[in-house]
Amino acid sequence: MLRMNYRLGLLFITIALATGCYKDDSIEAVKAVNAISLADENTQRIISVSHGDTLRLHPTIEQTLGTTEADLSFQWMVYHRGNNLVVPDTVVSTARNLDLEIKGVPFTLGENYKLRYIVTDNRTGVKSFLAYDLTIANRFTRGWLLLEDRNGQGDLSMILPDESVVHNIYTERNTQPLIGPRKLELLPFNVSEDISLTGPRLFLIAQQGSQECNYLTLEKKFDYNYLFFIPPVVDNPQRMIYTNTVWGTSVYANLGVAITNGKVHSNFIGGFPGVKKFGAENLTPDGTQDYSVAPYIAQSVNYGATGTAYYNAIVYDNSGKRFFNVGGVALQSFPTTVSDPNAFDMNNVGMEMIFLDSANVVNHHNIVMKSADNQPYLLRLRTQSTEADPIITLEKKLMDAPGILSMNTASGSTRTPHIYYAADNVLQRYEVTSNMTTALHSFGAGEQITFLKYRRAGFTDEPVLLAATWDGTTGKVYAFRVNASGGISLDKTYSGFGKIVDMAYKLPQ
Amino acid sequence: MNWNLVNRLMNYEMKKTIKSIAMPLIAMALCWACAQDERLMFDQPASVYFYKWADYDSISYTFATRPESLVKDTVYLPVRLFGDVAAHDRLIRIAAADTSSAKAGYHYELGQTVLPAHAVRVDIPVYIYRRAGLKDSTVVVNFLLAESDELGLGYPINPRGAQYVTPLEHKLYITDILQKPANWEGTWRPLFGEYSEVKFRFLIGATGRVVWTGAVYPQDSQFMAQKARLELISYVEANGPLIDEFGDEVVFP
Repeated sequence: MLRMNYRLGLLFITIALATGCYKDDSIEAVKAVNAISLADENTQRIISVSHGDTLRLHPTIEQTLGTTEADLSFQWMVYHRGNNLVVPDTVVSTARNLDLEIKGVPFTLGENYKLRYIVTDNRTGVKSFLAYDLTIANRFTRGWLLLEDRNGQGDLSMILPDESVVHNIYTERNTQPLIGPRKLELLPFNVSEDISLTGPRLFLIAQQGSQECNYLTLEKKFDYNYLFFIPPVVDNPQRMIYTNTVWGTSVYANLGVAITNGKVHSNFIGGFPGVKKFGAENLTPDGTQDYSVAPYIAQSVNYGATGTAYYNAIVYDNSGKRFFNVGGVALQSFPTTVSDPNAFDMNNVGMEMIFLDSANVVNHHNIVMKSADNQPYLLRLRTQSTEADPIITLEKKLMDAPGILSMNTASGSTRTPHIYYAADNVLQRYEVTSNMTTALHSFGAGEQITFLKYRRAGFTDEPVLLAATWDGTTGKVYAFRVNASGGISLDKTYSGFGKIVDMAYKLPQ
Repeated sequence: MNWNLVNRLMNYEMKKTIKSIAMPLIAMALCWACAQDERLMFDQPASVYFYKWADYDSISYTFATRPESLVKDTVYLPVRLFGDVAAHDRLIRIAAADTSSAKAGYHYELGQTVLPAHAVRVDIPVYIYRRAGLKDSTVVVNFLLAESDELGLGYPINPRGAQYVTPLEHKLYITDILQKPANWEGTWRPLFGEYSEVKFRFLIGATGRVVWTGAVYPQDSQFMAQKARLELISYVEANGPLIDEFGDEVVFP
């Protein structure tokens, strides 16, 4: 019996050893599968494509085991990118590469889409994905946008990169009249106020009919007053901008500043939820409404440099003849440490602001002031400071600039130390460093310069200076190339406009 | 193994016992040792709990910040499912603890206590009534979850950082007394300064805000601060300084 048990034991042990390490079917061996990698540099940007154009995409496909693409199937799927969590999708192609005419459903002008490229290994069913961002654009994606006054009614025209001109852009797309056009506010960076989708903003400021327009379609989106929690008491819009912060290669809005009837309204935006609109009128630091700011805003581009304080937006009170910093709740005075007494006191300037624009150094600004005895002064200030170097008031000097106090328009160069201004029908250039003024160009008698706009990068990456004129019946635009010394040479002339009140260069979103 | 050594250490009978009984047992154990484990899946019965954070252990509702004409309002008890959804509605049982001072049917009424089909959460409505007695008193109802036919009780305690909340009960305080918001010092004082009842009533009227506890977004608080300042300017121009119950003029920093 004992021998039998012993032999049975040995038998069981043998069986156990034979089966104990049997491969468990519940755990599959790790098999190598064909890993598919997709790549396309076009995924790094928003692809702007116009209605009627053909979108061609050729992504690269790499396989770890496959040698041909014969066992792969392809799908291009597109869906609208908006606020809805559930949206329909449309398969627009099943070809390896995309060669698609953009027209009709599901594409709508001005809307954003996600285009998804799906590659399936038919042998395993494993899918790989690549995503593109699309914006359905039109021919107005890029170029000079002009705000005109045609017998008191506003309209838009555009000078396109191919130098063609398109007129009546606003009136052909909108029924609401723009009465007494004043300002064109073009913000080509992302603004997230959750009133509408994040993206660039375009505001048209006028005596009546001020509004936000769709940046792409140039159709009206919202009334100006809709952008406030409560509309301003006096309906007299003058400005609406957002200052911005640079994060890496991206630019984001951080503080909205609107000026209505000389009063400041702010909109502190950020990544927190909820709709963010312009608030009620900001009071002075003393808690009063006794101020009236000039329609200029010295903006700061916030690069987030360590140890640097940025004044996002500085405005000038022409009543109290002093500067204010635009804070969140109220206007703010400046600490005494930021003002150099040999230059000027930010809290007590004592002059009237005539003009302000960016200078040729980042976050530096040139300001033209009129003294009590009607003399022109140049003030220079910067909108950033550090603890080691807190002074933001850079200089104050009497200007040698004939006619500058009665100028129609001016524009600061951001490449050279110059201010271009129009005195009568003469285009003048004031040099900040030498305090000298040079007459650059005289227009015909009766041809008044109505607007000047300097742009650092032109069609060929050279700076340009656009001068708009009006002879009583026709508006013209003269495009001057600007050389490295700030000198100009006439390049092109465009005509057929109304009286141009503002110009800005529109960049793709 | 050195069986010779084993043999010397053990007596002959013991060796026979090991070989004859233990070895078969060991062999059988080895046969079963590599059995496939069952996959662990959730198979517990469905249950519910009050979904709340430590800061929101209760709801405090005051009629005092609402218009006088408001005599009935609704608050909600958030309830979450712990388990599988169902294709039909399921009853949630909620009772009021004996310690509650609010009277059902007088101060409050529970709405429909049903977890809808395919839902993982529901907000249970509680209708509350403005009674005269609330002008100088606060009542409380302590809602307790109870088991129903299809829904059991969720986990009884939930650690939230250094605090523990009890997901099976939820308090509701009802009053018509104007009280200093619990978050005044942290949230509102930087904007409006020291608290006073006169100042608070002014702010309620100037801003229209009725809920002063809980989170407030920066854009809303800034707008409230701006509007309150403008309203105060208008008030002072029309009526002179606004004096609070302490004899101090109401001002904002």
